[in-house]
Amino acid sequence: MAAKQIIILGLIVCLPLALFAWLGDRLVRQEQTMVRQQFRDLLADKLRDTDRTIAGYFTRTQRELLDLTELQSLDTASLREFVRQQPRVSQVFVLEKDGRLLHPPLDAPRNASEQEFLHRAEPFLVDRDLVRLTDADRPSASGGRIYGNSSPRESAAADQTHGWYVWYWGRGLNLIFFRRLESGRVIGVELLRARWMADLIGELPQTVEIDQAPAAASRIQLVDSGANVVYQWGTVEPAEGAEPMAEIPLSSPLSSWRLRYFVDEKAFAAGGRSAYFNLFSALVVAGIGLAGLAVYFYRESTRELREANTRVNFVNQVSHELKTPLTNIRLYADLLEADLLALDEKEAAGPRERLKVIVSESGRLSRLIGNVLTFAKLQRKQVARRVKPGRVDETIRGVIERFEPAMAQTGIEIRFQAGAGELVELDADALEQILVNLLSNVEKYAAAGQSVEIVSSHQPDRTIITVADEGPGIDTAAREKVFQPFFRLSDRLEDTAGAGIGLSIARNLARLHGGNVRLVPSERGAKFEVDLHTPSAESKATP
Amino acid sequence: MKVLLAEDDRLTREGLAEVLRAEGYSVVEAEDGAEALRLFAEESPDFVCLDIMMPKINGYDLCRRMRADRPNLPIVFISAKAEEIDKVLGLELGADDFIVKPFGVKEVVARIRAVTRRCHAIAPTSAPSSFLLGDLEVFPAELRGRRGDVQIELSLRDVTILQLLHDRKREVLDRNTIFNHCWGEDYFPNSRTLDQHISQLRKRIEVDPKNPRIIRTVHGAGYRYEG
Repeated sequence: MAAKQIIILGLIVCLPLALFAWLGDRLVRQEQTMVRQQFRDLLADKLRDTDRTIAGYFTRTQRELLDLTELQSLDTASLREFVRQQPRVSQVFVLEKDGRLLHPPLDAPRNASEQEFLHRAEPFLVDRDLVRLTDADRPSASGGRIYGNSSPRESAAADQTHGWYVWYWGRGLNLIFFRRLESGRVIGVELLRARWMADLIGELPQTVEIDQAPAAASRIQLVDSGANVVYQWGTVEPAEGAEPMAEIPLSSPLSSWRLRYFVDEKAFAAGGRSAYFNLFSALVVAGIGLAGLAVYFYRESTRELREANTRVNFVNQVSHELKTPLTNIRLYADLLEADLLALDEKEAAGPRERLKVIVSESGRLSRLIGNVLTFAKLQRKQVARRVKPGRVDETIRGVIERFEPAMAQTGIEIRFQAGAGELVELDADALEQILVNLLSNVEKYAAAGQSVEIVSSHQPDRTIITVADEGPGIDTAAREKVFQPFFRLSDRLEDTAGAGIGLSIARNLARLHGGNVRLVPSERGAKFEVDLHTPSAESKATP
Repeated sequence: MKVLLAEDDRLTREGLAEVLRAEGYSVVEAEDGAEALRLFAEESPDFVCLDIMMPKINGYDLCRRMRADRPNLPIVFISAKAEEIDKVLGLELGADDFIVKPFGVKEVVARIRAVTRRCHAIAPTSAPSSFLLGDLEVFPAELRGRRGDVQIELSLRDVTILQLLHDRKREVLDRNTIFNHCWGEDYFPNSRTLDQHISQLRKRIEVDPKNPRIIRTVHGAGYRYEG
């Protein structure tokens, strides 16, 4: 197979494969992005469930605290008793309508717990912001606010009847349930942090219950506003600095806390690898398929050529086999001709005429075989040039001499106007075959013209030979076609036989020798011009 | 002049041998490569005609072996395949010429004469390069004659006959003498062979073949050149 064909077949296979690979890669990436996004959404849903659980806990707690704070009396003794009886409450306070603190008492003795509460609650109690409290506290996204030393003024709402106040102090978030009474007073209950956190964790699951493949190995973390992990569950230990697959903020009152969902990244990467493996397998299968198709089409397209080559090779072989018997026929006919010379002229006349037919026909057979072999060699580009010093006119005379007897029989006169007697570099065999083919055509098709004129002329480095007959000529439409292999002016059986390769061979041989054969315009008949590259050989011949 | 002809096809070999003999050469025939090599050693031919595809030893190998022995030996290849000839030329085996089948007698004769001229050029003799028969100057080594500007192609046998007539000027040479000298003593020719040959030769060298000046017939005796 030629290199060019290998490259073309390679391209037929590789280009679509490269395109498939590129498209496949894009598809896999898009698919992965989509799967990741869907997965994030799924995990976010899961986190929202957890958030709802937490929110549910606070709603229940709020409802219980609303019941608990239906107090008959707000005097110090009752409130102290309330604190003592409620294990989840760390302290209670009451504010007057105008924001003044009623409990713990500022003007009466306070116990240690009350004293400590006042100390840490002073900012919001003194600023009297709690009267405008809301549960819609939203810490800034930066998380840089320090709630323990300031009050969330911007979020307060005056018409709130009860809710949560989130307050940062000491180790973190503290929760205060507040309630505005009908009298306008505000009662606040500070929950014991350790208690509500323990209760909250009790509400949360121990394991992650999700069965989707990459999430099966996962972990959920509850982190506070300082990004400390408060509680976590699930089997996977996230790597340091790992990004969560999904993350949401909690609903109030813990809106500065977040829930994070980590999954095993390796499981995800494995999913990607598996997609690429599938893509690679598909490409291999497609590649094999394409290569198979390419080979199939190549074989189909070259089958005709191979069959033609087989035929040409067969004809080639047969033609060679014909040469030895043909040699003997020619040789012995020539010898017989010489023998006839010894006979009486009258006696020998008849046999000599018949012998002429044998010699002439064996010559024709030689030319036919020569044409078939040259045609086969031209097809295989195996024609070698055998250039040596010679004279064009001598070759022309040799060919004329061979044709004269047959031409005379058909009544054609050959006229030769010699003008190329210089010693030139010449492939005489090729020139001979070109001329033989042109004269054979004259003999076959232009006998009616009764004459053929050959003119040779020499120009620097070139020789021009024209062969002009006076036969029927060639139609303008067929002027170029006659040089195509197997083209014949008529395929009718009753017309002159021929394979239609003579002119094609003549032109190819001439071109191989730096020249050409053309059909040139003429007044009568057909006129062929042979143009050959024939550099002078005079300098080589003269030492 | 002796030629070794190696060709496996019997008819071609015999036909070629006849053509060569008619030209005046002494021919040794071999039907395969081994026989050719043996005859080459025994007969020491002046030149060799080799078919390329032959049993036992092919033409290429024969050529190499013969050339190893005699580097200047002229060799003419015979082949049916132009490709083989290309190989001979391409291998630089030093073919002096080649004959492609199918060939006619004229082509063979032309090529053999060309090689004979080269043989003479390789081994020049002390003999004079030309002699005169009337107005015809004969160049034996070049196998040609010249009358004025007209060149006349001659065969080896033609040259031998003319040389004999020249050397024995004015003598009547009977047929046996001419046969023995020009055809060789082993040759048993047809009675008309010599007359026929002389008749053909006259057509080429005489100004008026019907009234010959160079080769005159001495009726009942033979031929004579009168000088």
